[in-house]
Amino acid sequence: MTVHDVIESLGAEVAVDGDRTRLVTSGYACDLLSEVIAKAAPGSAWATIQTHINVVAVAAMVGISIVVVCEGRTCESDVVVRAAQEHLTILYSRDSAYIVSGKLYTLGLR
Amino acid sequence: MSLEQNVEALRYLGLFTSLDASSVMSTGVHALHPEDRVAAARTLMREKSISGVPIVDANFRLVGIISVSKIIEALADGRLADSVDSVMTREVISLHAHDTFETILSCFQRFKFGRFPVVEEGGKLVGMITDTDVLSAIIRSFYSVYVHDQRRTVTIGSFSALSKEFENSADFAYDISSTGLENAGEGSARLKAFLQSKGFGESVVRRASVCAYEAEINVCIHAGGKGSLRAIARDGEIIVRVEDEGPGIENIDLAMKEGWSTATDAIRELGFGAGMGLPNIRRFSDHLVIISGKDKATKVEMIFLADKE
Repeated sequence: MTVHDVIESLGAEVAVDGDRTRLVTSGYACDLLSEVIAKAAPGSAWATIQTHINVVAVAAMVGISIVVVCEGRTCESDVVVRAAQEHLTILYSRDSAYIVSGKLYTLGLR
Repeated sequence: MSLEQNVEALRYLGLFTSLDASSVMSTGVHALHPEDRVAAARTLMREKSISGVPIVDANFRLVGIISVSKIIEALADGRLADSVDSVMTREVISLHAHDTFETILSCFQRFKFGRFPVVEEGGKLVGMITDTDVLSAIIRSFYSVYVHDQRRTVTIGSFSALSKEFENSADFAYDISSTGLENAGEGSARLKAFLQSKGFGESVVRRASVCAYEAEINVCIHAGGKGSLRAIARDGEIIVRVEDEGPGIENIDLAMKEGWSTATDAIRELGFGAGMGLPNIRRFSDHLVIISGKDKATKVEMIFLADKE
């Protein structure tokens, strides 16, 4: 599936509308950046409660396709600007990372 | 390897730059005065198992040295009851407390003595350096060097732990300069783009940039955000060197353990400081050398082989 498909299915607010054509091939949920950078696969949808600028850096480094910021948290404007430059899609979800992960799993991301 | 080459290697590596004569020397030194008897020197050498005794004046200024060979001569001539003053060597080759490790090694090479007195301003004796002291100092230094591969042994044999190529040039260079964590990761992002432009494969690029990111984050979290990130990329090999000016890693073995970190709670809340930085680097690099220590600069060098995949 693509970023577009995830946006449509998850029903979360689109904070940054990035490259919708990117493939999403798996998912990862974690707030420790070192874990994410070590273990998330390129093309992942990443569920996290982190909202600062390094989320974009980590996503770019790993090749994350879409970031879902959970628990109703929102990013600072500099993060939004940076993500837009990187064409990285960011969603805001009111759900917990657990629920978001469950939804992504149900969509077929394994 | 000649001594000159060894000294040159030491200078290049900067491995023992913090070692001066005052940190190498033994300070529990026994000395005699010129008016003491030769017999007293003989007794002292036998009891303390030492092969030379420095001679000092009333103000502890070095005025001579008496060695085993001088004692043997005095014994043969029946002069054990004479004063030390009459048999001691007056032209003493001594080191200064601030002399560098290179100077110390050069001294041992040039003069072939087993020991050198160490003096401070005014010629006051403050210690002695034997070859055993030098060896002990080297071994102590290696407690602050971590080499994560078979080069651990090579390092100790020939001091060749770090790549020489960085001396002259690097294919990629980025000055890390970050006041907070805002720009953290910028250098490794650029490195990643650079490596991709060089045509390296996706996997080795990912490994190299992930490790560079971790090292860069460490500079931002622990070293005030000031440092350098350089890389050499050629012939299927990527060498990445990240350096900062300290405060250094006090215990590298601990820092290599997963989950161990000295980061503050504020840093941890941002998702950093999980104690995974160096363990991740070890996991993803094919060779890793870290040189650091308390209040010292840190050098992290990582090598990634494209054909390992």
